[in-house]
Amino acid sequence: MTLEIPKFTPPDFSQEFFVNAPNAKLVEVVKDGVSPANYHALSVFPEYFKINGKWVLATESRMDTVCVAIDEPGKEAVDIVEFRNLKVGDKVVVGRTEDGSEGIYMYTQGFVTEKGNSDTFAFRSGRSRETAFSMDYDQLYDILRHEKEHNGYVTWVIGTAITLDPGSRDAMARLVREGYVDAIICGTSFAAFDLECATFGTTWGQETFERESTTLGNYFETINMVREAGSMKEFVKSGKPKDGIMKACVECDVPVIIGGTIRDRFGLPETYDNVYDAQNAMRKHIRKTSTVVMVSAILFTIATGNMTPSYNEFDGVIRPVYMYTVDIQEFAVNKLSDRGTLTAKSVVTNTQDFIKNIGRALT
Amino acid sequence: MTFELPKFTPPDFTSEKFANANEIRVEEVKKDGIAPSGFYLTRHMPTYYHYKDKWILPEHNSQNCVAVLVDDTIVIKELNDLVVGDKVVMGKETDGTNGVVVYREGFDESVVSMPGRSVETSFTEDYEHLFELMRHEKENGGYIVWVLGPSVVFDYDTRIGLSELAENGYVQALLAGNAMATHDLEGGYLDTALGQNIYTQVSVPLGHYNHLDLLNEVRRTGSIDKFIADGNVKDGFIKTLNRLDIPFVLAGSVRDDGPLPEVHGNMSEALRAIKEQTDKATLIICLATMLHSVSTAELASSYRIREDGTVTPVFMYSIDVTENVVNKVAQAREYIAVKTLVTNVQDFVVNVQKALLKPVGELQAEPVEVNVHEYVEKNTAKEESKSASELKIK
Repeated sequence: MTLEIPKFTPPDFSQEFFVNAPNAKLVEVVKDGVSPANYHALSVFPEYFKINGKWVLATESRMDTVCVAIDEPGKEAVDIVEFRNLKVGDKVVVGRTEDGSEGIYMYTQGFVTEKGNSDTFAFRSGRSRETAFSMDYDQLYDILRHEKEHNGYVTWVIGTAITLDPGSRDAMARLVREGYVDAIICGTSFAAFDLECATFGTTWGQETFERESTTLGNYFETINMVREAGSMKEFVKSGKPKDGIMKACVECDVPVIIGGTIRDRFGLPETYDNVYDAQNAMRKHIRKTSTVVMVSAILFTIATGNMTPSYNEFDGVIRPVYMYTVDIQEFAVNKLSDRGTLTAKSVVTNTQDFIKNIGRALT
Repeated sequence: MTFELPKFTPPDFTSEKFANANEIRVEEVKKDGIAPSGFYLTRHMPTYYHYKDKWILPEHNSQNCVAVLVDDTIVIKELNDLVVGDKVVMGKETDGTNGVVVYREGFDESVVSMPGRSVETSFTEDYEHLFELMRHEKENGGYIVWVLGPSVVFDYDTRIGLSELAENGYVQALLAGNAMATHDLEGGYLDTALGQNIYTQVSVPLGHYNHLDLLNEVRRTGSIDKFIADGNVKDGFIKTLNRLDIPFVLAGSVRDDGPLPEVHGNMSEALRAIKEQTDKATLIICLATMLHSVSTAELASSYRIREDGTVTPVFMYSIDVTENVVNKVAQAREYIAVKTLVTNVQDFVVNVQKALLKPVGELQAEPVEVNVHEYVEKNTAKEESKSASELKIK
């Protein structure tokens, strides 16, 4: 089975309705990090803005942010910007309609095929542990192979559970080494537990991880050693870590973005202490991401889900961005599956099994 | 029955274990934020340090930190906050061989709880214990810290319940994230939480703009304080705290919109601000937030040394509808002085409010002074007018 990526058909802008629509109204920012009132907030769907009579599609979009327009004649463009990143003088699109009457058009029919998948954009109903997932797995294998062969950008958002089990840890490291991973977004404990295991052969101080304990001797020793080395890269070079995901990432040059949380009392040198710097770093990768797989990391999954559009432009072609969320908790996966996106799929399972399955299927 | 806090009994220092123990060994930090290799990593349980022939119990305890010798006493410090020259206690053993003794046995057996509580566990006794504890803390200068997730401000009664508890002296500090404060202020500004009316559940037109508008307007004003002072917020928990000068610490996360101007973006700063509050805490109540609850459980001292020198456990209540969350908290507190309830936090707050603030309970204490008929009548009338105003849809 080969993967067919849905084709995007833009609206026919020669229709009178589009021709007669006014330009989007722009108001300048007067205080850094604060938008003019009545701004237009983005959704996850494709949205067009009329600037100097030209309809411009927002690419690298992000919901709950604003549209900054460049209206220099001949250079019309838009940039989708978080409120906190607005700068004085930025021209923000204002208006809260999406039907073109204010120069703002939200377009949900771009990926609808002639066969008439009437429910393509229907909000997905909730998924549970009893949903049949075989087809979703097969599709995911196809997507991951396709992305690898076609220069796609696959970002993985991974929780600590994956590093606590040798099978899932090995599978993830193999996926990195075989080119199925272009970036990893995670928290400190994911990276630090992997390095603890690689260095001391223990997880949470135990040879086989069974239960959480309160004091994390080897874990903190590991972080202390990485800080002493200056970076994960230098630490891996020192030869102390023997295996694992971080070692694979360093050796294959796969970027790892580590966002801080208030549970981080002792971070790795790479941990972003400032969570908004972390968000900016995450979005830098999400802007180029064509498929995102998010496993057992509810905080990072929601953060990433919120900044990932349902579509994006790759080499001039508009296509959907595939999104998978995997968690044992139905609540966690359903938080994102009601986004109403074409391509968001969720699987309810133990994520260690999920990764082991992917590893066995692809490597 | 008068309520008595369970005590912690210090060990017998003349016993063999202590009498034969060595003194602590320290090494100096050579580089900021990096501990000398082989440092002693602190435990959650009360720990004594042997120095100059004395056994020192630090003022505050915290797990996964280092013990630092400062002027003949021991201060528990975050690894992250180490600076060059800090004298760090070394060694792994906790049996006295390197001057460190972990002493869990001092806690009264009554404060030990059992793992594995579920939604079917009977919680009435835990509620009764909490009510007594809260009354005790209120009357004895205690410091009750609340750790709250956003779901408590999504509901009408819960939001009022929290405010009334604060007004009646049961809240001394709030620890929360950006979303909790944002949606509470959204409720006070536009009557909605995430665009849905917090009483009628009706989604208002363009309601998905409401929390973004609130964030944008507070950011324009520059602070929550100024935004409230300008008359933008009708009601809510944050407004109540602001009026009563009760401190709140808001810690950021990677999923924040906005954020509000008061939110700490740097996690190391957020943790310092949180610790300032947990160091004063005598009771901590965590509702419906896994991230903040577990963080606080890991951070907060297991005991407080009271003014009269007695050592008492710091009780932590963890309430969540997800068993995994309360189990993580109980585990982080090593099942000492931790109580977990599996429920919807809306019910929890309303139950606590009704139990502690309804005057009927007080009535039994002083029956002679009150004309029961008059009291009940008056009280009912008050109830009616209150519920009528509460039900009014804005």
